[in-house]
This record gives sequence, structure tokens and C-alpha cells, in this order.
Amino acid sequence: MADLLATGLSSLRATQRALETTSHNIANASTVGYTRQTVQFASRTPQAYGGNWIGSGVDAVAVKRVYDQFLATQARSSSATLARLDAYASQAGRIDDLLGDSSNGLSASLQAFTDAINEVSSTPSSISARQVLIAEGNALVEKLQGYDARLREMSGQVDAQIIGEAGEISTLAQGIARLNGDIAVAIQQTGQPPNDLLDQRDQLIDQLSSKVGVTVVAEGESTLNVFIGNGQPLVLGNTASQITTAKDPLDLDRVKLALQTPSGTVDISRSVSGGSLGGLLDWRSQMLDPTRNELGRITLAVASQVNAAHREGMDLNGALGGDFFNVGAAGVTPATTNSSSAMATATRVDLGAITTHDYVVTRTATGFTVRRQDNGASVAFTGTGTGTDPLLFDGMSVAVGATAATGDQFVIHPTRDAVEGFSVAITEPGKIAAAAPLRTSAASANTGSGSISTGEVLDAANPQLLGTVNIVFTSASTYSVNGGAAVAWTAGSSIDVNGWRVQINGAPATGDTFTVRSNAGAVGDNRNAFALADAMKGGALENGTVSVTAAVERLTGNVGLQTRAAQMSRDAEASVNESDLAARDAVSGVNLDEEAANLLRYQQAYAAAAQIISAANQMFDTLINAVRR
Amino acid sequence: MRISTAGMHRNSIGAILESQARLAKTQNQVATGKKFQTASEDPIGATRVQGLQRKLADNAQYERNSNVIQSRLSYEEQTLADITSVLQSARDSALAGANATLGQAERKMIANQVRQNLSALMEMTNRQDANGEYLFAGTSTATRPFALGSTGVVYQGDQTTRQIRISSTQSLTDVHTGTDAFMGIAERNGVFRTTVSAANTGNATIGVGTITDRSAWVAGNYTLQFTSPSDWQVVDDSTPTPAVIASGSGFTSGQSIGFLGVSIAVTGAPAANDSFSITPAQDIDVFAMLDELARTLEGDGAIAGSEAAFTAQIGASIANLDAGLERVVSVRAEVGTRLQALDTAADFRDSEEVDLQALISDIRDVDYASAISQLNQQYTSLQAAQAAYSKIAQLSLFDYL
Repeated sequence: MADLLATGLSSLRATQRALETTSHNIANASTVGYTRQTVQFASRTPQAYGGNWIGSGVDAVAVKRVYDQFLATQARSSSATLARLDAYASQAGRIDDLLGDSSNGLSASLQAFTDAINEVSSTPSSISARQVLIAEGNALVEKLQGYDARLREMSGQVDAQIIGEAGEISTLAQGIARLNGDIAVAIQQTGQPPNDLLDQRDQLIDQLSSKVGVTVVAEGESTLNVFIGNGQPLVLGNTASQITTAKDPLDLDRVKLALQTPSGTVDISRSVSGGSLGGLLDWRSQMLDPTRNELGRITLAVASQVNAAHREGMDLNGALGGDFFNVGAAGVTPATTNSSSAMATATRVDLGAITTHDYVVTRTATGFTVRRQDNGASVAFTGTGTGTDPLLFDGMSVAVGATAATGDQFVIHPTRDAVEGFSVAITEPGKIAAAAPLRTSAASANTGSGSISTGEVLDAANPQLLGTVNIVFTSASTYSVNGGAAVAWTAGSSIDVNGWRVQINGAPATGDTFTVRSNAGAVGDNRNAFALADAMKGGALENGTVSVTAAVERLTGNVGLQTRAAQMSRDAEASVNESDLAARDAVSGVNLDEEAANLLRYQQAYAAAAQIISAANQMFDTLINAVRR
Repeated sequence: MRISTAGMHRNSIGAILESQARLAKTQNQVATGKKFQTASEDPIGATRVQGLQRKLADNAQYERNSNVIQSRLSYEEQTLADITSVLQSARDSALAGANATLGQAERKMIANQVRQNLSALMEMTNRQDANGEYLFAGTSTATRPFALGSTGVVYQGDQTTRQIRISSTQSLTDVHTGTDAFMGIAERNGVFRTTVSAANTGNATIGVGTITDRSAWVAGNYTLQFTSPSDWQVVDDSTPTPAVIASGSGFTSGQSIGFLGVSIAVTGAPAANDSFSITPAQDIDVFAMLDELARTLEGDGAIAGSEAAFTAQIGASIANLDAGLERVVSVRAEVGTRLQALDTAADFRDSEEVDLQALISDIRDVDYASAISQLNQQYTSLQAAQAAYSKIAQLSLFDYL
């Protein structure tokens, strides 16, 4: 006879396991990363009795995680992508908030500056209008420098975050390695996987992959190895490598990520991608740096356009206008790894060709290479890099000291340092050159009908520019300049002298005199203020095709577009992630109603099993009572 | 499909949060009246608005420019009107002074009036605008434009006129320079001047003369000679041996003598060998006109005692003042045209501003009707999501165990 007591007992034991597991599930219904567990029952081996196989009870053979590797991996990868896009989009939103305000942004400051020029143009002798122009110039400087400072600050915050994340990544890696060890031990002990340790390890890997892109490779039953960057090992079995940060040798303001492996230190700054860290690095190189460089380039364009017009004018003191704005020189940073102390100098030679990239110039055994700093693309150049034959590329001229050793690197920042050195060069209102430098006149005794144009400046640097010049007609078709040789004349032909140009029209008679002289004293002249007001509209960048105002509009437009694109991909990925998480949880998540039903079911099974024991007891009593007589 | 309890809560909360974010955005739109706050919400719209706002700001600046130039041009208008009445008054004085019955003392009194006119003219032409800029100094606006020099009034300003931008397409010339307004006026009839020779013994005087046929006139120096009280001839002085180019006889007082397309009246009785010179007209300024008139009335040395020369000179002064008045009137007409251009530009700016505002509004401003209805809809859907969640969250099988 089968052992009724043993069968009942086995059922009691098994349902107890099931009740415990159900309780565990209920208890962990809200635990992040928890995978629900189920008990696997198996009927015991039957016993042959009287030619029949009689069942002998049940065993709880295993407690399993309800886990779908495919769904879990999918959810993990979409979470990592979401973390990357979210980091990018929220940082992009900060730049957008900074630059995208149409009523209070850069465009408005530029407009206020142009308005102030126009005000000087309508009342050129007013000192207060000139003072307002200087103040608006300073406001423009402050605006640009304020933006630049905020962008620099954002870049610094990225560094701080990288340092923080590097520490967390190392901690997570250690946790994974420790769990790898614990799990191996646990499996060895029981032959069964320790479900909750597996959950913990998966949870750590989820956290890790939302920080940085990693590849997970299973080794045997118990171990998960984690690789970072281009396949550098972060966790191998129960050992983890450390991630450290160090100053970037090419940019002292920035940190680099390095992996400390037993075989040495590996630079992974370039190869790290994905996760929130990858999102930050992407944002910095794709959005922050170009925006900062473009601000620098706009600064250069403002300064060069306004200065060029200002130099061609005359101030209230009768002197030629100097520079209105100062700008910072192009930046050169020698790498800290350079073996020589050679320096390099970089100058901007053609604003129309200058880009928003930064460059790395490397000394090689045979010459130089020039690469873009952001993507390493090779840049075509001419020249040999000496002072007399500098390297020429993208509107820049770079000369490297002769002592530079092979392998020495220099980073060239063509535009971004312009903002820091940006300032208004003029402090006295009288020094604003609103007037044209020359005045032309026809002698009152002239008998012909000739008239002279107001004149234009061709070369403001000509030392003779302001000298008085008499143009005397020696016949109806020839003239002489200051008594010089006769020159043939036709109506309207250009007369170029001392860096200026005039035209004489009509029919001058012999002996008619026209005079070009310094316009000193013309405090009401606004001709150059006119030219200044148009400076922002003139083509300055990209071979003269893009004006300052167009560049500003493009910058805000681009920042807006990039931000919008980032936010849209983030939102799209969020819904993908949502459905991935739902799919994973549909399999692995705890449903309390289900557990309630299970609880009920196993309670009933337990009660039934107890009844079996009770039945066995009664049968035993029946038998004893029968025998007692 | 099986749903995990945590997943169910997450989904519900997610839906509620999303509803709230949408509601907050619409609420922000309604509160600010703008469809977007930063460029990322509508990059293309934001860029366009930026350009349109720049145009609006430009227009506002053009309006300020217009106000400046309008006040200056109006002031010029006013000043030119004042100058017109001064010149008119001087012309009246000349007409009164021309009366042959007046004695030298009375002429002197009239001359004093003319001197006063002259100083009034000096004041008017040296007027400064509200900013202290001299109106008629060209661009040398800190320099007093008209000053008394050794040879009369000299102009110390320059020939440059300011251009002021008054709309995106138009710039307007500011106030005239002193030269353009008051200097370099061709004297008398604009072609030639007539002078009574100081040696004349007859009492004939000569008129200013008129041009009857401009094409027949050849500029040069001529002399009208009377060989007898009734015979005259015109000699061209420029040829080495003066050549007679016209002659006549039977002269009577008041007769017009014509030659080379001009006609000159001679009044009175010429004596034999009396002569009158006819030379090309010079340029004169309004100050010299008054000064000349005053000197004539005062009995200046050159004409002292010669009534004929006096009459000729007074006639010349009247003709000069007519030329001066004509100049001032034509400058005034130009100012009027400029002021009108200002009005036209203001109309243009106004209509452009309406267009620009409408465009900006189209791109950026919230349509309240649809925004409010959207707000209501989102409010309702958030309410529904919350209600649904609170109901569903209460459901649990454990309640029945």
C-alpha cells in the first residue's frame, strides 16, 4: 500500500514551497527589477503494487524565474537608447532656452546696436546718441560674452558629470563582478540558479547600460562578462576594471575617460557611446562646441564688418576712425603630451573661409597633418608650417616653432576665443566715426557745368588720404592733380588719388578747379554712420554669402531644429521603451490578482493535503480499533 | 494579455503625467498668448518671427529718423517763409526808394530799414535747430554758416547734405546747405548786367533788360554808345578792334534797344558819347543783394550824384531781389516735396507695419478659441485619466479573500 501519510506530507511540503514563493512574489510586487518566480511541481515516482503503479505524492522540484531573455535584452537596449536621447535632448533644451528666445535674444541685442547706429546717423552731432551707441556696443559684448560663459559653464558641467558617472560605472562594474562570483558559488552549492541574485545582477547591468553603452556576453551558466567602448573588458568573471578620468592632453579644460585594465590604461573617450554618458558626449561635440564656435564666428563677423566701416569714417575730432571693437585672437593650445616646448601661432587670414571647426595640427617626421578635432577628418592645407610659409587651411594661417618634435600636437581654435577678447575699443563718444573722411567741392569761380561726386574711400590706411588735393582742368578733356601731369578725362570716369575715388560729371571748363580735402569739422555728417548701419546686412561669412543677421537667425534656427529633432527622437524612443517594458513585464512582472488566486489555490491545496493526513490518521484508527477487540 | 500590477500602475501614471504636460503647455500658450516660447517648439516659425521683428524694429527706427528730419525740415520751411517776407519787405523798400521825388534823407531812412532786414536775414540763415545744429551749414553743423567777411558775407559750412533713411527703400535729403539755398544766385535777369557809365553827361538811365531770344545771345562784354542824342550803336568789346554789331537812329526816351536777342529799355535823354556797358551776369547771394540795395539808397560813392545810375541800380536791385525770392520759393517747394515724401513714407511704413504684425501674429500668436477648447479637452481627458486610475487602483482580488 502506498504511504498515504508520506503522500500527504509531500503535498504539504510542496504547497508550502508554493505558498512561500507566492508570498515572495507578493512581497516583491513593487521591487524594481524583480522577476516573478514560480514553483515547478513534479509527481513522485510511482510504486509498483499488485501489478499497478500507485502514485506516491508530489515534489517541488524547482523555483524558476519567469524570464524571457529576448524581451529583457530588448527592454534594456531601448532603456539605454532612451537614456542617451534624454540626456542629449534635455541638454539641447538648455541651449535652446538660452538662444531661442526671440524677444530677448542675440537678435534683439544686435537690433538695439543697429538702432543706436541709426540714431547717430539721424543726429550725428549729438553726444548722447553717440554715448547710447557705445553703451549698446557694450551691451552686445556682454550678451555675447554672457552666452559664451553659459556655454562654457555647460561644458564644465558635462565634465563634472563625466567624473561622477565614471565613479558610478566603476561601482556598478564591481557589483556585477561580485554577483558573478556569488552566483557561481550558489549554483555550485545547489545546482539551482539563485533567482534573486540573478535579478540583482540584471538590475545592475540595466543601470550600467543606461549610463554607458556596454556589450554583455554570457560565459557558461553563471557568468556575464561586460565590455565597454570598442570591446575593452569592464567585467570579466568576478574581476572588474576601474574607469578613471584625466585631463585631456589636447584640451586642459576637459577630462578624458580611461579604463584601468590589468594590462594597462586604455583611452576610451572616443569609443564610448550610448547611455546618458554617450548622450552628453554626443551633445557636447555635436551641439555645444559648434554653437560656441559659431558664436565666436558671429563675433568675428560683427567686429570685422563694423571695424571695416568704422575705419573708413572720420570722428568728431577730425581723425580717421580706428577699430570700434576688439576681438580675441585665434586660440592655440599645445598638447600636454608634447615632447618639445615649441609653440605655434595661428592667425585668421580670411573670415569668409573660416569654419566653426577646431583643428589638431600634428608634427610628423616628414611634415604636418591637419585634422578636425571633432571627427578626426583630414583637412587639406598648403605651406610648410614655417613663419614665412605657414600652413594655410580654411581661412587660417598656422606657423609652428622649428623645434617641434615629431608627434607634437597643437589644437587650433579659430573662432571661439574671439568672444573672450571681445570689447568696445572706443570709450569717448567723439571717437565714433559717423562722418565721411573727405569732402569734395567745386570752386565757386568755375565757369563750366562740372560737378564732383561725394567720393568714396578705397584704402583708409593710405597716409595721404586726408591731404588736400586740387583737380584742375587743363582743357575740356584733361585735368591735372595738384599741378601734376595732365590726365585724360571723360565724364563720369573714376579719378583715384591717395586712396580715394571721385567722379566728375558734366562739362567742366578749362581752369575749373575741384577740391578734395579732409572733412574735419563736419560734425553733422552722417555718411559713414549710414555705412555702419548697413554693416550687419553685408555678407561677411562663408565667402561673403552670409550676413551677420542671417548668421544669427541661422544659429537660433539651427539650435531650435536640433533641439526639436532631439526631443522628437527622445519622445519616440520613450514610447518604444514603454512598450518594451510592458512586453517584459507582461511575462516577468508580478500580478497581484494572479498571486491572490495562487494564494487561494495553494491554501486550498494545503488544506486538502492536511485532509489526506487526517484521512490516513482515521484509517489508522479504524485499523487499531478493529484489532483492539 | 497578462499585465503586471507594477506595469499597470506605471502605465496609468505615465498617461496622467503626459496629460498634465500637454495641459501645462496649452495653459502656458493661453497665459502668454504665444504658440511657442523657444525656437525648438517651432524652429522655422521662430526664425521667421525673428526676421519679421527685425523689420518691425527697423521701421520703428525709421519712424524716429523721420521725426528728426521732419522737425528739421519744418523748421527750414518756417525759416524760408521768414526769409521770404524779409526779402519781400526789402523789395518793397526798393520800390519805395525808387521814387524820384524822395530826398537823400528819406532814402537813408529806407536804407536803414534795409540794413535791419539784412541783420534779420543774418539771424535767420544762422538759425540752430533743437539740437543746437546750424540748419544751413551742410554737415559742418557746429560751424556758424554765415559770417561777415571783408568782401561781404562768407559761407563757412560745407556742401554736403545729410541723407536720412525713412523707410526700408527710401532715404531723404535733409535740410539744404547754405550754398544751395542762398548763394550763387544769378543776378538781375540771370544773363547780363547793365551799368550806366560814370562819365555820362545826359540823364538817360538803363533798364535791367530782357531776353527775347535766348539762342541769339552770345555771352560777352558789349557797350551801348550814343553817338548823338538820337543815334546809338552796340559795340562788341571782346574783339581787338571793337566792332559795331547793331546800330539805330531816331532814339526816343523809353525806347527798347534790341540786339543779339535781348531787349534793353533806355529812359531819359542821353547826351552824345554817353555809354552803357552790358556785361555777363555775376553770381550774387541774398546778403549782397540787400547790402547793395542799402548802399544804393545810402548814395554810395559809385553812383553819388547820378540819378540815372541810381535809377538803374535800384532797378537792378529789384530784379536781384526777384531772383532771390524765386530761389527761396523754389527751395521751399523742394522742402515741401520732402515733407510730403515723409508723409508718404509714413503711410508706407504704417501699412508695412500692419502687414508685419499680421504675419507675426499668424505665426506666433495663439488662436484663443481653439486654444481654450483644447485646454478644456485636455482638462477633461486628464480628469478622466485620474478618475479611471483611482477606480482601477482600488480593484484587488485581496479585497474578497
